Amino acid sequence: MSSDTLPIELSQTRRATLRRYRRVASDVFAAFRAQRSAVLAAGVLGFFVFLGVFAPLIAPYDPNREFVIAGQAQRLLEPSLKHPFGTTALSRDVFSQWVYGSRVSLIIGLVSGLAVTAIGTTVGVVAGYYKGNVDLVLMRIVDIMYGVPATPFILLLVLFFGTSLTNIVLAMVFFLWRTMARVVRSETLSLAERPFVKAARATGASDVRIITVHILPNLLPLIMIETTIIIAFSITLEAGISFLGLGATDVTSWGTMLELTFSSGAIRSAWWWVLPPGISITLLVLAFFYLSRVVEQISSPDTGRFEL
Amino acid sequence: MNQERLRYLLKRAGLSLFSLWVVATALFFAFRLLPGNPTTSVIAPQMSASARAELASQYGLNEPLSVQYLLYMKNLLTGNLGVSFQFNQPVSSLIVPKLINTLALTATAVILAYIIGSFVGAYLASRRDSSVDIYGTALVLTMYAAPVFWTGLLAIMVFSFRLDWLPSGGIHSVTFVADSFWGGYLSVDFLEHLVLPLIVTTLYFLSVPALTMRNNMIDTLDEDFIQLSRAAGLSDFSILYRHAARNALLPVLHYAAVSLGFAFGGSVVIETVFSWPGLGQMMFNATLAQDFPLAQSTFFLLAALIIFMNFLADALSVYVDPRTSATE
Repeated sequence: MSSDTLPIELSQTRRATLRRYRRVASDVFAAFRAQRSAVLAAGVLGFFVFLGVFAPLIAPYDPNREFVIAGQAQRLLEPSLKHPFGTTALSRDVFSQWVYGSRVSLIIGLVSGLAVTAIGTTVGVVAGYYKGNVDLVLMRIVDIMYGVPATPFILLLVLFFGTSLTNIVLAMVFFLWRTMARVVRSETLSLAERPFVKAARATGASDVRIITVHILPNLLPLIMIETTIIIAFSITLEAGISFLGLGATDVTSWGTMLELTFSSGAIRSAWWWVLPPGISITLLVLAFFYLSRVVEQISSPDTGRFEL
Repeated sequence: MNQERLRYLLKRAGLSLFSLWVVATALFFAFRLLPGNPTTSVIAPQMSASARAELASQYGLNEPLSVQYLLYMKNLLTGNLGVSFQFNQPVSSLIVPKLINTLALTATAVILAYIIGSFVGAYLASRRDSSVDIYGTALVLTMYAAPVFWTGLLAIMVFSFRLDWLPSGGIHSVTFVADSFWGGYLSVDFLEHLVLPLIVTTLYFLSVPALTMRNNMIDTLDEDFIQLSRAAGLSDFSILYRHAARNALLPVLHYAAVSLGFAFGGSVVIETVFSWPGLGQMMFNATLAQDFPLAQSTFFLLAALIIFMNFLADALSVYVDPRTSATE
């Protein structure tokens, strides 16, 4: 639908703005498609999202069903037509577990990514925009958070409050927002000094308007880069927590699958059980790394950098 | 060292001490007040009545919380870490050997990773946008994306169980007897146990220095003095490693200290995979076993190491780049 046929009457300037947005969007999309690694990353992500959303339809069995044939538990079966990825030491279907496991990783990544972005951006923008004592207090808190060893503390929190998906996400978000806040704050500091912000202030724009209309859109690439990295980091962290046996007990995640391969001693033989979860975590995390890179390349094309 | 730098360093040192105090306080409350905390059975049931009474008075468990807190801080400051419930030994004597084990694996891996990673990064930058760079970067990223415990599992699966080349875990064979304390670390048996975890951890930590170095080199190679050296007819090798790398390397040093701190924090995972008797594993097992003097102390020690490494990173970057103190 072109802007001329919009049912709502738009002013001349609004129509111009809309046209500009549309042009930028199509430029970004074209730049995205030109990057082979970006398309590949989006494909991998799309695959796992598909797997997660349609898990009940794709998985042939209940992930917790134990297969027993004529009183014989079907333990550690090699891959076959009936069990494409074989069975576990508890005679469960690896393929079904793997399909359902994608849900946990995606949900963990998404929720903790969004929460960290919301908290980190708010703290960063407020500290960077208002400066002074607000900045001082907030940044001291961030500094102290940096001094706290995240991984052991997250383990401790999960251990004390109980091993559920919610607690794992809460514990991770509690520690991960610090990087986001620091990065957003320093960018906001420099944006707030730019002529267009000063011009807006001179025309009497309110703080809220300056932040939402002039500063946030310019922070967007940075926020997207940081968010993708936080998502990737959360996914690996959850896998690590689950591997230590502190994973959510009510659902099967790739991390808990790997924990069982290790604790049951199945890594001696059952490669079909060890490979799928590990490869999937790696691919998913890698996809987010490459997505963050494409944002960086589109927003500042000449650097060729690769941030972690 | 000028006044401004010194003031900056003192400020960072003060902040580090403050962080340490926050961690200590958080630990105090975590181990006493949170639901399901190990102190619900602070005094091990199998202890005799007199031992219980002695422990209770040592930790002041009959006192009000404020008195307990002061006592806890006093014990921490005087290095009195208490006695482990599980092993019935002073915590400090248990911790030292584990600390050495953790350092032997983690510190070695991080140092190796930063040496190799810097070279890899410089090389990738010099071949920027070639297929070597594209696939090399992808490989480096994959090593970072793969969970380190999983690569550890794979390594054990292939090299210990399939090929039977190397031991699958632990620090010594069951039959091994060390002739002296340090002799244990200098033996072939120890090195055999070290190889697999060391390679896996090094590959994992390689990515940060490699990518940082690559980024810095790309920036440095665009600078005027590099163009000048090129115009002066210096060889590519000399430009790359003698001039550009030297400048690009400095910020990498900062990350080395941060990475080391991070590695201590994450040591619990790799030590679990390889049954490596280190600090991380001890912290985790002690917490699970509700051995709270031991858990609390190992935790605090790990935190102190991390905070110290972060301070070292700050100190290094001021020394290396005087602009740091001006920007804060």
